[in-house]
Amino acid sequence: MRIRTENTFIIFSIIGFILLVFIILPLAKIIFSHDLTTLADTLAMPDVRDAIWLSIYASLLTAVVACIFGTPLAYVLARKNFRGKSLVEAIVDLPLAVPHTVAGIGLLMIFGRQQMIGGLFYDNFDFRFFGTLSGVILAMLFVSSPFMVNSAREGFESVNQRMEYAARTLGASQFEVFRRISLPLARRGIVTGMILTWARSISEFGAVYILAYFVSFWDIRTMEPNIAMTAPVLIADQFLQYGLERSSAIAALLLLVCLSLFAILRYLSGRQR
Amino acid sequence: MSQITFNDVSCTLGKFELININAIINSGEFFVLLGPTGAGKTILLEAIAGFHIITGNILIGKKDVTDLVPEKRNIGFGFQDYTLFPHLTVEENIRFGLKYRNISSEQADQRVKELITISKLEGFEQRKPDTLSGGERQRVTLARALVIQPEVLLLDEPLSALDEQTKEVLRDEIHRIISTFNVTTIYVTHDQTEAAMLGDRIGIMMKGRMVQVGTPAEIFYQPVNEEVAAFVGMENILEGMVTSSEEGITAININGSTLHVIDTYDTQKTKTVRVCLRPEDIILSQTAVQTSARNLIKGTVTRLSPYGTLIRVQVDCGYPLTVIISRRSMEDLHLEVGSVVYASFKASAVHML
Repeated sequence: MRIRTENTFIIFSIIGFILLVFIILPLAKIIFSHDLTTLADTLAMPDVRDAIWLSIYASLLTAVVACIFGTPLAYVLARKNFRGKSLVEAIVDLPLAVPHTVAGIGLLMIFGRQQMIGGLFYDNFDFRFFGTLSGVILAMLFVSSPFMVNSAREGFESVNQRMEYAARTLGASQFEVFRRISLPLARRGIVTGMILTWARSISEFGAVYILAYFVSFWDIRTMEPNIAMTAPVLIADQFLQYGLERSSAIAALLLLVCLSLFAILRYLSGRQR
Repeated sequence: MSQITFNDVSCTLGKFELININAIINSGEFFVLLGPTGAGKTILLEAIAGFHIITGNILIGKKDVTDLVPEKRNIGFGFQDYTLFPHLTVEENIRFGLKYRNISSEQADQRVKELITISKLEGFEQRKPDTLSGGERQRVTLARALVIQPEVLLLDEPLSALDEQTKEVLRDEIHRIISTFNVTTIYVTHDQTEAAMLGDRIGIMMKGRMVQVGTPAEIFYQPVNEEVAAFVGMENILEGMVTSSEEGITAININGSTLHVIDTYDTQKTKTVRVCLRPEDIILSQTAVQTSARNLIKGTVTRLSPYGTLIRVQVDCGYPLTVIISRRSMEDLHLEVGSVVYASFKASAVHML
């Protein structure tokens, strides 16, 4: 057997391996430092269950909202060149560069009940963002929207524009072309965008912490109002009050839930190929 | 089936442009747009379909379509790279445009079926485009464009991505399918053979301009200028002085040798002229045989090079001549570099530019 040595790739793989270990090690440590009984006991606590449920629920809603508002923008950016396009692209990416607590404070100064938009909603509909599920979604949407827009845009860019031209000549209007050709063909990019948005949202702490520490929301499990913290906020809260032991058990649970959901979604979206 | 009229059509698109295109494509005609890459053929086609904003007007039939969106123009467009919808089956692809026509689903079924039969696509109905060969995809593209019964069919280099054998078969197929529909067709290509075989008329485009429109015979034997001559394979372009022009025959002196052309020339004008001659119109022989050809000239072979299955011979006759002969002729004539040969060609084969 002949062996050809590829030194560069061997060295690069070793360096890459260090990074992978760096990612895996702390996560594995969290999960394996608790026995099953502790995890089960923790999961039995109502505030923990509510927090994990709220995190999943709010981040899924965020992914849907991001899809509704992000997909049209992604299509425009993929198809049109216009003056100021690079400015628009910069704005889309801006949340990546803004510290999340800063984002939370900014949002609060717009959506607070005595502020510009928040005031409008409070005065007219008696609707509050601060401390509600809507507030959580706003916070999550702000920090995760770049993932949605950029990923959907890549999806649309992968669709040959001549295919859209062909559909036009056959009689389809611009919107029909979008609905029947571009959207189905860009589906992978859009779904990937939603998964990334969801993943980024469920992990969000800073902006949620400012905008909705305690979240009052309509719990569709019991069909009754409920109050809870999102899981990352609860973990920080418990860490400050009771220390590492208690908070890391909740962290382990949240991690397990996230990893399983992430694995399922990746599998499902991979199957659509 | 409609006439297409271009009135002063201009358009700039990055480094490509159209400059003052004026032409009429006759109703029911198979019109070939021929020209080198980057000449603006595709832009002209896309302008007819309505993808670009232009100045001037384009009329389909009597209707000015210049400001109409593509979906209102009733045009069939076959793109170079197929552009079949990959998420739809062959049948769904062909049916796509019928959704936007006012016809019942029974009529639609029937039309789709008819196109599948004519295009010989039976058995492929439920296949996805990426499982088809290049030739099959091109037939689906054509069926999809024709099923809507367009007034005009535009085809952009439909054969360019195919191998030689498929190309030949499909060229005849396309011609057969289109002729059953009797639709005004504009066919873009850079391939002279395709143009000569398919075109009722040919339009030559160069650098954004329509430089010549004519029948294949006119284009290939009477090019309007040196550029067109070179592009359509008139490899011999010679410059000389007119010495006389009598009784419809003009004599031209090229480096001391006289060449006769069937053409009249006003000898009062400047006497320097250019003439062109196709390499396949010249016959080589070992001796000065008397033929009906008016031009006979002695020369020396300077180069022999293969040209596909043929041989390209360069002969120095006082001026350079390029001749194309078969390999068998080369062997019969015992040609090699340095051989002395006689080149003969008819005065009618020479075209004065």
